Amino acid sequence: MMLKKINGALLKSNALRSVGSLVHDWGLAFEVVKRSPLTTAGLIIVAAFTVLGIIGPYIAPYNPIEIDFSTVALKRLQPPSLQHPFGTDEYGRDLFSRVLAGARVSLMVSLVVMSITVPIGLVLGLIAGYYGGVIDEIIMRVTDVFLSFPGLVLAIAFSATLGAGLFSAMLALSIVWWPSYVRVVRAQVLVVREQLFIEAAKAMGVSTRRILFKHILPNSITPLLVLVTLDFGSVILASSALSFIGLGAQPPTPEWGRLVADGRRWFPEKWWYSFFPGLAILITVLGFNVLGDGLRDILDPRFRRRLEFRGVE
Amino acid sequence: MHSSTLLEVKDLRVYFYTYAGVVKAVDGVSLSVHRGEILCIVGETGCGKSVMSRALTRMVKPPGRIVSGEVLFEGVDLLKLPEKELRKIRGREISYVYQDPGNALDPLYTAGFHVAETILAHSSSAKFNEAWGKAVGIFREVLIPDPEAKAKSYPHELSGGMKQRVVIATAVANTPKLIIADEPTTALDVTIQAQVMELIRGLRDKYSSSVMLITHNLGVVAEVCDRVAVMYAGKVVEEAFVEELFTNPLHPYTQGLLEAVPNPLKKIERLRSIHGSVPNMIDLPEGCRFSPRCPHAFQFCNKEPELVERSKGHLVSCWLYRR
Amino acid sequence: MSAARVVLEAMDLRKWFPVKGVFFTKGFVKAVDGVSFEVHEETTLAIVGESGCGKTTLARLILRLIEPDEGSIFFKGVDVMKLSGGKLMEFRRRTGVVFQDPYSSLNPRMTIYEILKEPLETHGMLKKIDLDEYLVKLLEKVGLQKEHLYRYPHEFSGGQRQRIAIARALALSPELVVLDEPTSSLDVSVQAQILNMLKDIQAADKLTYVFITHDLGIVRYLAHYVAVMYLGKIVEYGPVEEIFEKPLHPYTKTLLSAVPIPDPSIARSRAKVKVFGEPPSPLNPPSGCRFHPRCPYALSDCSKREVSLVEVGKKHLVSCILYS
Repeated sequence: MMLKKINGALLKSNALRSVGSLVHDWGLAFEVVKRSPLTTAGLIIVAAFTVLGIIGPYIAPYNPIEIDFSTVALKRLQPPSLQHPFGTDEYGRDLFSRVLAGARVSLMVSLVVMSITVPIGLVLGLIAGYYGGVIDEIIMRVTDVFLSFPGLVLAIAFSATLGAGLFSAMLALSIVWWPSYVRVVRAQVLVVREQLFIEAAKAMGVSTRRILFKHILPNSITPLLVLVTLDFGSVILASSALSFIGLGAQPPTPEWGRLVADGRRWFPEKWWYSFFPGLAILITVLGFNVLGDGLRDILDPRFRRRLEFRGVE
Repeated sequence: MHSSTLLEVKDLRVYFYTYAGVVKAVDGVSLSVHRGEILCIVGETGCGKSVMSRALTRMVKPPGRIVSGEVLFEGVDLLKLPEKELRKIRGREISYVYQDPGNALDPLYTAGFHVAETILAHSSSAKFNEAWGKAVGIFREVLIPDPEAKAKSYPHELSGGMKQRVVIATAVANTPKLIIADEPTTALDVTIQAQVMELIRGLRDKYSSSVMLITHNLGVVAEVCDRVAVMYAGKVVEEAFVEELFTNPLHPYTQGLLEAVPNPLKKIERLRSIHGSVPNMIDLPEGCRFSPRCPHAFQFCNKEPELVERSKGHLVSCWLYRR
Repeated sequence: MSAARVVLEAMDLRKWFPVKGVFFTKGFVKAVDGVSFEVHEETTLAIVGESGCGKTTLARLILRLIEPDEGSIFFKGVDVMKLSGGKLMEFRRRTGVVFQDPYSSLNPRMTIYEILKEPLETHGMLKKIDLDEYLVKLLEKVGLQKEHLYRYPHEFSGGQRQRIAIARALALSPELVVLDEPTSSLDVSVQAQILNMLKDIQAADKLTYVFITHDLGIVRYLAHYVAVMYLGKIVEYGPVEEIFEKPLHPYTKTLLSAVPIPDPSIARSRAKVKVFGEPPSPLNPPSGCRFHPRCPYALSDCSKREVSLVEVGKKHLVSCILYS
């Protein structure tokens, strides 16, 4: 009952209209989340990561970047304690604060990479799928070239060429990340293109641009949404990897991969230095993966039907 | 029990337990199939005719469950039979022909293999070569041209009509006592449909098997059936011999249905349509399920009518005939 | 009949689809192969035939959703193939279409309001009308109400969706509506509702219909003229009553005797023309008359000679060696 009401309220609010039509049945979506503890866990992790990414630096107990030279000798490389839950680094900085600040760096990297690659993937995928022919051939062969190299290796190559730094790491990741989106969008466009409502729109004289963006696009983004969620985790992992080998974030930026790399020098005696940033990477990436899987289930009509049937027994 | 009764269904109920609620797909169906007759089950989408036919040999998939009822096949209750015993009856005594012939055949095996396999499954002695020989013989009987060659073809090499003949060949391979055909011609063109219908009648005459033919097409009913049961929203609302049903339909739903079909051999000025649409199977109307759409509904209809015999062999479940 | 009364005229339409092999084109599916007909004002022409006869391709050709390889289409005397820009938009405004499958013909991400608004917006009608009032009237015309406007297609039954699709086709008050099997996925009781509605709308709005179907019952009920198609060609054309009472082409006879009749007394007593075999593939249609391998009246010449449509009665054309 309650769910029905929420469902109705959500559908009435204009902003959520389009999302509403995407999910179709909010009650059922809640049901999926409720029944799959993993999805719920993923959702919580991702939400926590996002919130910490935004407010992290403000709630950090210590300054994550500044070094207090007066206390370095006293405070350096202390094990976890109540004062410093994750311990301290070789300059006496609080690792908990640094990991918190690192969340913002990771969030920013993944957001920037996505906001560059997703539009590219959407537009090229739409064009390739809808028009077909020579345009499709050219776009797809170029993406094939990119996809035929292991993404990370290519990202390392670009990043090294562009010079070390967070900016060049984001650029390098964007360069290697868009082709998979083109593929996914194109595949879906090929399916939607054949639907009769496209033909009906053509028969009414609706312009090609409107058909592409009003009819094909909204019906093609579902698989992309799942992939993007999964890829958020992957981008964080890849940017950490770049930083780990010294190409991404430069000191004193508290990037998780960088922190793991820095801690390596003191491993295993001062294990906490590498351990906590590593754990942060692990949990965040896992969270996005699990959420992506759950999202796929919610958006997949076949799964929904199975759940609908399993129902109340 | 009638001496010539082959199958008797008593108060069969099949419910689907879904997230949205309980779907009462089949809700208290009683009917019988006599030996050597073609009984048509006619009804619209979602009336439960297909589910009912599958429930006869307990082939309902979860979340569906047979809730109650009896299915007496030659006096034995199939719903209580152990799975092992039931398997001997399925395919040998009772066989199925489904709507989509494309799905019913395994693309990896030849047409002849399907039939031979069915023969072998229900015989302890036969060798594969023998069974193959029999299969070719059956192909000839179901009027497949050039049976030797066609037996060696794979499903994708056959047309839709030919595939349906192969499916029918598998169904009659063990000369079953009952053939349950679920919309066997819906996917086929009219000229092919006519051929398959004639084939089914011919096989019935030859083997004196009974046929339960499930269809939504009243034309098909009129062409091939002996007796008809009309289903609406999980219940049988009327049952009669075919001529009787078409000349003297009693239930308002049957009347509406008969006047809603355009007849190619008659000039009709205006079709009568039944207003509204089939009820939501989770939230059924109280009493007679047809009452919200019925032009004759009156105060009695909020109670559920029973299926009673009005004249010999003509049963109807409607309050109009209970006074 | 005068030319002014002809709404649509097709002349020798031809559409072959290439079947691609590994290296080169293996052959052509001759979906529509030299089809000519005319449709008169305020009448319904039914195009009837079995699957693969090319009737749906023909529907798309008429609306210029695909381009023919050869032949031309005249809409009220104007060559549709030569239209472009504003003139083509004008043609689109004056024609409407309803497809077979109401589940894929409505965009699942748009509300009914958006779906019905789209044609009006496309043709710049929004300034000329009171949109809300217009849409409510449109919905009422197809038997739906105002409260349906803000729902999504998945909240409707098949019959209701088809009503929405019809409303969309009527939104711009077209003169010609092409209906491609609009009721074949619906139950009989709902089908009757839709057919009656289409009949009423035609009378009220003075519409011309081209009705594509495989159901001869619907043809008899709704159409004034019928074109019977077999493997990409029209084999018989004429007034419905005449063709159903006195079919001439053997294929028409075959169809009429194969169609199940919902009346046991007629169904079992009528004389039946036996049909042999199945329709051959349109990829390699038989030579001469395409029906000859299945025709009970076939002569030896049938495989050698292709006969064109000849007039045998008033507006009654047939292509068969027996009548030429």
